[in-house]
Order: sequence, then structure tokens, then C-alpha cells
Amino acid sequence: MKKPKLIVLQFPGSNCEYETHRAASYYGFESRIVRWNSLDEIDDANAIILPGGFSYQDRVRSGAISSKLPILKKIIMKASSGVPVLGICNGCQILAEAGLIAGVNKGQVEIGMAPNTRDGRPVGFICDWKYLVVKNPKRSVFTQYYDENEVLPIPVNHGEGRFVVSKSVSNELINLASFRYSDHQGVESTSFPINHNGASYGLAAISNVDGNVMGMMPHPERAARLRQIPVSISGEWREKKRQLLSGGSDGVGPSEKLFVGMRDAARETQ
Amino acid sequence: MSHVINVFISLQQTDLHCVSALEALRYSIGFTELTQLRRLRKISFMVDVDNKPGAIDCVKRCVNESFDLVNPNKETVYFDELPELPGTGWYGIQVTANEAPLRSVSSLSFASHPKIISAEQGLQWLLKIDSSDSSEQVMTKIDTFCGPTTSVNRGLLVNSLFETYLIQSIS
Repeated sequence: MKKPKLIVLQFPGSNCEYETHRAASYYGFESRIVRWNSLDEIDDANAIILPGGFSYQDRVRSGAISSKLPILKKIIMKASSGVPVLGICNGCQILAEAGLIAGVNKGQVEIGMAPNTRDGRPVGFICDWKYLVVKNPKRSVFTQYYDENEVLPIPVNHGEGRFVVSKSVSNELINLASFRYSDHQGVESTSFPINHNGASYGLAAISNVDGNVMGMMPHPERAARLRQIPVSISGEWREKKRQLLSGGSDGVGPSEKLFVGMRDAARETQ
Repeated sequence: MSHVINVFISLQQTDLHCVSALEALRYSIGFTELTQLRRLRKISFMVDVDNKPGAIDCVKRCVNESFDLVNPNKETVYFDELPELPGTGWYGIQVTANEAPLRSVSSLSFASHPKIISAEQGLQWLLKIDSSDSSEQVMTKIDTFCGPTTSVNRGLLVNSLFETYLIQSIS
């Protein structure tokens, strides 16, 4: 079967494009990194990832300048034709500033990515491994192969990752949430330290209404392989990691089903 | 009696936030009447002193004695006034975060200044608009094109989901 074409968009200041490209290639994409000003190169894309980083040095706000680039208008057109679009970290901030998530009112900015807070006070940049619990898996192509309430460990790395939602989205939030922060047993919380950035509803990722666009603050490309997981993690992945350290072979990571779901959705646009 | 003293801090070098924002507003959003853009950090001090000159003196001492509020090697500070602006047609947008300040202001700076009750940090954008429209019309345009971001084609300097803003006519 022909591999679907994936574009990893490189903005000035992106810094996760190569690991995202490697993770996507591992899961069966024909992936390539394309610069933000190569407008024609995304025409044949079956899937698009906006990777993490600090595009335009986070000038004005994170993702604000990138969201005004001409290529975003092309991405909006691709997304409306059903192409899966994933925004990771800074990519999520760009999607939010461009109004691609949550898409309740198409084209309108409904989600803000605010600075991390704890009880209303700033907490700055946070780099850590967190646990996510899957919500509404069948509503999004990215979570379609996960089970409801499945737990996966995944790293976060951001200073402005607090989801703030408009009224139009808050009514739909229970349905649009794809991942929420939880403990290793899947117990959700909206307070620190489980919800480390103060996000509304403990949101870690949200999909659009059509289910083909998702913005997520954690980094799935850094949990794509078993070898990327630290031994300090709890739950079933700890055992898998121990087996790897005891001489087992490397295997897929917690974000396997996310990439596979995206790949299968991308095949439908070929 | 308490007084609010605004301190404005501007970079002495080229501010890259302004370069990118000006280009995005002029060329992506199409607000070509905007010809210059400046950005200042704004710290609003609430000071418990009887008179305003005394409050300004108190804030000056605090700013000058601290190391983390202003970097005199690369920033210029203005106490309770905006910098002098060339010509007319200047408007402003004040932006303040709803929940947490845009950047935290260290409480260490105020430890030896008990008369400072609070400090809140925000941003002051200064926009030069080349237009023959009335001031009200220009402020409406600023609100539409430059202010709260509502779509890829409208707004940039404010995200009203977590920031509040005020548009001002300055000169």
C-alpha cells in the first residue's frame, strides 16, 4: 500500500520538526519537512503536523505571528477538505490562534493558550512527564484506536499551555476533549499538580468538531518509541520499559495509536 | 491615601515583537494605515503615600534599587508618563492578563519598600496611524484590525479570552 504523504511544517523557531518527522516515518508516513514559505509544497499532503518550538520567538504571544502567515490559510483549506492536521505544543498554539480548534464557529478564535498558572499565579515553564486519559476516542481520527479512559504517559514542555475556552466551546467541551491530564491510574483532576498548567477542564488536547484537527500541548513524538520513556514512569509502561532494559527489544510507545489513527485517516484522503 | 503610578519600560534596541507585529498587521491583515508600532512593558504600582510626587519618588527608588524590574543596559524607563512621540496620530492599546500578569513581578523588589501595596504588569502598545478619519473611526479600526484576535484575518495584539485591553487616543 502506498504511504500517505505527511508534511511537518517548519516555522522560524520550530525545534521539534526532526523528531516529529522520525516518529511519523516510523509509523508509516512518507514524511518530509517543509518550510513555512513553501506554499505549493503542501498541496499534495495527506496529513499535516505543526510541530513544537518557539515560532517567531513567541513574539506578541505564542503562535500569534505564525497564525497570520499565508500558509495557515492553505492549512485551513486542507483541513476543511478532511486532511488530518495535528498541532503539537507550539503547533497547538498556532491552531488555536488561527481558529482551527475547536471549530464550533468555523474560522473564529475560540481557544486561547494562556501562560501556565497555579491557583491564579504564574508558574512559568514546565518540563515533565505527565499522564493523559483518553476522552471521546471515536470523535477524533487521532484517538480512534484508543479506548475510552485509556491512560498514557507523555512529556510536556511549555510555558503557555493553559487552555482557555470561549463560551461557545465550554458548552461542547465534554464532547470535544480528546485528552485530559490525570494520574497514572486515570483519575482526572483540574488542580495542581495533575493539571500542572491550570487548563480549563484539565484539557491536554482538543479536537475540532469534524474530528480531523487536534491541538495537543504534550509531545506525542517524544513518546513514540518505548526507549523514549523514563524508568520513573508508573503503570503498564513501566513494566514494558523494565523488560526493554532487561534485554528486550525496543517497541512502540504510548503515542503509537495516535500516529496510526492519523495515518489511516490520511490514507482516506489519498 | 493610595496612588497608582504607571512605569513604562521600552527597549533601546530594535524590538522584534514590533517588527513582526507591524508586518503581520500591514501585510497579512491589510491594515496599511498603521505606519509605526512601539511596545512598552507597563508596571502599575499602587503606592500608599499621601501625595503623587511622593508616590513617584517611592516608585523611582524601588525601580532604581532593584535588579529585576528594569535592565538599564538595554531599557529606558519612564515614570508616570509615556515617552515623547514624534508628530500626531498616535493611539495606544493597554493589555493586561486577566488571571496572571504577563510576567510575574518579583516580590523581592518590594521587600524594602513597604509603601508599595501591589504591582501589576502589562503591555502598552503605541500605534501611529496615518489616516484622515476621525479619532473615533480610527479607534474602531484599531479595535477591528489590531486589537482582539478573532480569526486569521482580524486582530493580533490581544487575545481577549485571557487578556483585557483598553484603546486610547494619545496625540
